Amino acid sequence: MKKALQIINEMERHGVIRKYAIGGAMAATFYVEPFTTFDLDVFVVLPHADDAILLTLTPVYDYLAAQGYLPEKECVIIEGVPVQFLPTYNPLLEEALAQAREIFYDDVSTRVLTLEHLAAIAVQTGRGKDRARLPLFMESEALDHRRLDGILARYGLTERWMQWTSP
Amino acid sequence: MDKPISSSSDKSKHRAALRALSYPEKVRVVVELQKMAAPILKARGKTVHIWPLT
Repeated sequence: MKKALQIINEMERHGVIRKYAIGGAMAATFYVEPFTTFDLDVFVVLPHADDAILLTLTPVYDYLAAQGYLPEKECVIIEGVPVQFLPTYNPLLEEALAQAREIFYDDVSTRVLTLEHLAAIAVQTGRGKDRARLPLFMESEALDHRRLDGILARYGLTERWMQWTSP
Repeated sequence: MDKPISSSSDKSKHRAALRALSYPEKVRVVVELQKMAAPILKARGKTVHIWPLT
């Protein structure tokens, strides 16, 4: 995990990605109790994301392949960790990445999405496993409900949140 | 082996203790969970990687 994060930090330094933050289960694990996952989801802003019509991860895959890190299904195995790179493809994800928290894993600097953004992304994505995580998020003292309400309202997700969380 | 957790208050305390772990400690727990889940997933024909902690 530590070495994988170091490689991803190098990608940012080398300009292969403009910015990244951990999302998905491993970001959630930062705030709530740990649960099983086998992938590290990494949201990325690509260097030419502003003027690109089509977002492509080819430069990311090429950079990693040149270092011997090869794709497997939707991930790239970096130092034994399956990493899934997900471009920020909508305004909610762009905001989530812009406001991601800087943290340390041992002595390695990294970023995780905020818990409020993780909750909003879970609602927007709408899969069963995303819904199953919401009770864990709501139990966490780290969840800022006021901030979450603002995000849900901005992205038209309040109604679904209410449906999902009402008893 | 750890003592089994029985009552609901024991479970809440255990979950709160897990929430309070540092991130590297939580990642260690995730890796332990991966080790437990891997044989089941492999038996179903899924390829899984247990993460190295370094």
